[in-house]
Amino acid sequence: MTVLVTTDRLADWLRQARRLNGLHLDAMTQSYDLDGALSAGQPELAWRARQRILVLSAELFLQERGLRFDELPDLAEHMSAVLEALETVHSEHAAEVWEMVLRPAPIDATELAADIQATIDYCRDVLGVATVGSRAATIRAWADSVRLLREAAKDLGVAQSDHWYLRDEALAAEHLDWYDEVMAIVTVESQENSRTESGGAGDAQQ
Amino acid sequence: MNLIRDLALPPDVASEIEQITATLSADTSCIATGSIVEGFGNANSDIDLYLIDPKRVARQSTSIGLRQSRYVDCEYLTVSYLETLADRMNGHTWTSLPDLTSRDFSRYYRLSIGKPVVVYESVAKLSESFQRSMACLAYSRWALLMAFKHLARASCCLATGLSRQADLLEREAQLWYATSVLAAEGEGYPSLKWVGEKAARRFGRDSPQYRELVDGWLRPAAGITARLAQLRSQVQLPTELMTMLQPRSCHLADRVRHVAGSDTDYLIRAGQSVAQTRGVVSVVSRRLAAGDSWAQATATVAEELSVPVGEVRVGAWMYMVPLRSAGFLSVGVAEGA
Repeated sequence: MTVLVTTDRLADWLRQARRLNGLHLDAMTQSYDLDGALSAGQPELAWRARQRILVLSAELFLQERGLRFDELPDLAEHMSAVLEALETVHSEHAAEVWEMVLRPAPIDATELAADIQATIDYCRDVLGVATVGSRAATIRAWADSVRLLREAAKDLGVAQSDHWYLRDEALAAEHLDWYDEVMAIVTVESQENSRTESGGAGDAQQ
Repeated sequence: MNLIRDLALPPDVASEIEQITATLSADTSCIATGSIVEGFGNANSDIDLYLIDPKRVARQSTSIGLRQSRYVDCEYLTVSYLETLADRMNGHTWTSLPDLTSRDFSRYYRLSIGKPVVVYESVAKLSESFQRSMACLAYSRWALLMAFKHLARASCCLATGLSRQADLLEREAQLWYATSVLAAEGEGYPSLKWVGEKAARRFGRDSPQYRELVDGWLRPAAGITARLAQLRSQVQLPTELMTMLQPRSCHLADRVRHVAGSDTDYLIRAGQSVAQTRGVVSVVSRRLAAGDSWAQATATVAEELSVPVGEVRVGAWMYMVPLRSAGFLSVGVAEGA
């Protein structure tokens, strides 16, 4: 392993960081949609979230390799643009992602859930997007990117509202700042995930 | 002020809204809306609130707050904005539709179904201006236009060898078409991700209508060419809208040269910038560079590609937006096509 140090002009970095923050926000909201849809038996919502997660993972893969572009207002055009860019960087992954994007959704609910899980595994294991598949991890990544973005913007003198985050008044007495408040949620989510996973493992052993 | 417990919302949602409204400034109205109010929401759906300020400028645009299992999404609007939005939507015509945005439809519909939590006079007076039936009618029309715009680009992509892009665009066109049909049936919640729930609520999950509206974009069975032909027969824009879309015209700007390549063409703005083009943009640009008018160029390309001329005109026009914005193309006066 080598120690990698990169430097960027703050204004350029800020522009890129905004898009990255947008991707983390999207990953977080899609994670809420996916979890909710699977629990409630809403297959179309779940499949739409799967598609969004797949393509935003491809964009995060490109971001890691220094390729950045702005979000296009039309989702289908944005997906095409991301996958065309992926083609220039890694044609094998591009072909795999295209196949997954255009694959028909299974009708059977179990098969649909299995396909979604396989897609998440692909995003995490092949595209290297570690946060995918864990709502807690997507929340943490989003919060980290917001905190960094706001610190950098402050340095550039960019005006920022202090009211962008809706504090949980029930936690006001604990005097947490917004970041600590979010991290408290991440901790609870992670503990619940661990309990579910260990319960699931126990069930499997039985 | 309403009692929040009377709004028939899940207890955790009601409790959260109660907390937020307790911190509002004296004259700010609060309306609860979104998928939970619409009846589609699940245990992880966000809580959508509109906070409406009587002043002309909102304090901020949005805010977010994470909670266990959900997040809260607040959007700040002003009374003057709502008045303008209501006027535009209630007075819409087929020809004014293209000027309305996805956000306009989303806000109008959400306001029409919104549950007033705290409402001051200036907002209460406006409540009758937001009607769900109008929201459904306008959205049905706009979604049909969106279906056509995606169909047009899918046709252009397929005809120029971009079959995967065509496939993706055709599915999005199917989704917009289903959205249009459902809005006309009274299911106008303006979000593509809820089409399945809308179709299930309107027709039932086991019905042929549900399958027809969902399978087209979720699990298409036929090849892309057959699907495009089928969709073309369904997505019929009214004459007045087509008449407005067709005569738009543009030409190469002064001192812009076209250089043809094998896969990629180039437009060069003397001493300033270079644009790469592909697909239908390249073939139309070649005709424009050869001296054709927009109407001639698109008619010739439509014939060469065997694509209906209306689709070439709309598809090429959309793909050429960046070229017009960057000064490679100039918008001309309407011509007789």
